[in-house]
Amino acid sequence: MWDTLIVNPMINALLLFYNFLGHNFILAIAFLTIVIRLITLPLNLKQQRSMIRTQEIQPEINAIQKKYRDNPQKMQEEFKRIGYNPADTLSGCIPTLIQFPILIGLYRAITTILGTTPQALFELVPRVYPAINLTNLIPVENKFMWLNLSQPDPLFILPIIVFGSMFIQQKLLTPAPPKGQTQQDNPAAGMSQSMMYTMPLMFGFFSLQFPAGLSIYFILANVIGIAQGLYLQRIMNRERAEREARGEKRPVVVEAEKGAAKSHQSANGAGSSKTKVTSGSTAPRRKKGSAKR
Amino acid sequence: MNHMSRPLARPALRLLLFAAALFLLTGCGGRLATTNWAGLSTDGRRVYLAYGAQVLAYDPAEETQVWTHPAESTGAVFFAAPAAADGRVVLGDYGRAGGLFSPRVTVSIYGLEEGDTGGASQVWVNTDNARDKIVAPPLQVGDQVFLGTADNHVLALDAANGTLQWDYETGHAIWGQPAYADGTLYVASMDHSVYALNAATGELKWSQPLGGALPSGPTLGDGLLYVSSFDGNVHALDMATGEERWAAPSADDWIWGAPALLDGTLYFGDIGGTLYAVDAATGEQRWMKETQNAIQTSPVAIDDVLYVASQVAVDTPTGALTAYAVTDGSQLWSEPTTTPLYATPVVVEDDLIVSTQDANALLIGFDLATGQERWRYALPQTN
Repeated sequence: MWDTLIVNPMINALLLFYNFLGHNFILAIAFLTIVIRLITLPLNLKQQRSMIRTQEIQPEINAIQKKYRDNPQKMQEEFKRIGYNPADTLSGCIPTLIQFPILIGLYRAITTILGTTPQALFELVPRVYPAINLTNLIPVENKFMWLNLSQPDPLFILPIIVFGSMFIQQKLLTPAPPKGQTQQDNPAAGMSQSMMYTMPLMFGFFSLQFPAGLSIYFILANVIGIAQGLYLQRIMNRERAEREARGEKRPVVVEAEKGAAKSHQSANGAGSSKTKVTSGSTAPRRKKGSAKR
Repeated sequence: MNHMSRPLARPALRLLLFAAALFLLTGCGGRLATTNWAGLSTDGRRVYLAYGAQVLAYDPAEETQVWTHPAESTGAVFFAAPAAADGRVVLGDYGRAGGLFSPRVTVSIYGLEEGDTGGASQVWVNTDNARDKIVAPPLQVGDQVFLGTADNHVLALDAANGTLQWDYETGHAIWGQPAYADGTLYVASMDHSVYALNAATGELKWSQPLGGALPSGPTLGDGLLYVSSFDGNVHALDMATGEERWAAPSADDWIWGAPALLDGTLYFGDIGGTLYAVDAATGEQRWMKETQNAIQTSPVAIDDVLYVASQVAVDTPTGALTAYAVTDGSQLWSEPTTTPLYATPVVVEDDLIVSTQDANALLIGFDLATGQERWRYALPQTN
């Protein structure tokens, strides 16, 4: 089932691209990466947008949670009012969940195609669709510059690039927590910050262990992710600027309790001991409050 | 429910998933393609089997295991059939990983000296000249050892100490054992070409590109060498010039195993299950037989009988050792095995020996005449 739905289509896609792209396996991996990224683009954009948006209104979410901890119904109403849907937290995981079958499937596809053992080739045969003439494609070229694509990069260059490119991507996609906000104020942001380092380290480690062909995929996927992140940032900045230009107010009405409000002030740099966040609370207004200090 | 946990759910889930991915990816097979079927060879007296972490020597006459190498697992795995001659055994491994944080792989070639009463001691090891796994069985000729590597090179080593004499690079991996005749080494490469090299210097005499990848070593004949190819043909080349004399039988399936030559006739099978007999001089077909079994090995031709190890393609793949009459391909007997047979059988005295991937029957000895099982060797529990 797994092979039929995930691994074999990837094997055949890679072989097809390899055939059409001048028998260059790096180009085949690059093309497949682009195709996969295009397929998952809507989901990725939604996830990233949701993540940035949640980070922006995190202080309000915290305040609501604290204030209405004993009144879930009211809490949901307030969440709805500020445009936050907790279910998005789970739906936002879908792109991440999709990445795993893709990653594992691609790993299997690359190692099967570049298996470099008779048994690996023997096992490849029944996986290839009849429309593909495997005889003309075998053996798949596994050398590229100093790399043997079926082995890890002996010069450590790819693992370093994987780490660097993934770190940049994570940095772009992880909004910095507002000044003065602690991890206790915003645990989600704290977690995201820590993942900004752990994920690149993890994938850098993968690259030390797995075929260079998979590292090429990681790098290309990261580069595309960086471009996507930059594009998204630009779009969201423009949208925010347009909102501000129209004087739109942030739809938040919370009569925060003292503790919650304090946390909120800390997050936004406000100073009074009790803050009334009204429906008139907007990003410019908070900025103005901060400016007063 | 603690509502503070909701914003945490996404990153926490991600961390969990990435940890799972780390586990899954690591479990997917690790850094090296470390599996293959066992490599089987003989020096006419003992049987040598490279089956993973160790290589063993087995005496069929005594039905005893003579030695294993290395005594303890070193992390390296062996699948290339060892080359044994005159008490010296040469073998190559698939490489040993450099450690958790090192991407480097060390591939080694070993020279062992066998004692008369048992045991084998390592005389030399070469870790410098092969950069990817040794799939091809080495070849010993006099004081030289020749072998192909998966990183495209043909290496000539001094058989006494393992030092490199020369190195020739082809276009892709070499999986087949080289063949030697009159100072010339013939090598079939997966890059679709056959190379003739001066055995003393490594200098190229000629190369001949063919229509498909060449997974097995050449078979030497009378002025011609024969190479099986994924293009569905056995190609006959002039040994002196490399010129192609004929190609047959244009099968739809890959021809993997090297052809067997007996009394002017070549015998070979394709992975679709067809067995062929063709005239070695002209390539003219003498007979063909549909066996229904995938044939990836080389047939063994002795007297008037052709022995073929094959894979029986059903839901749970099994294997079969089948004897055919060389005259017309009629089946004489067939013995089933619990796993597919991927390695070419070897003959020691009256025993026809196959290797399987079943630890309870790593080696099975069949009576050459009747096909009756005589003995089997199971992997010792201590291994």
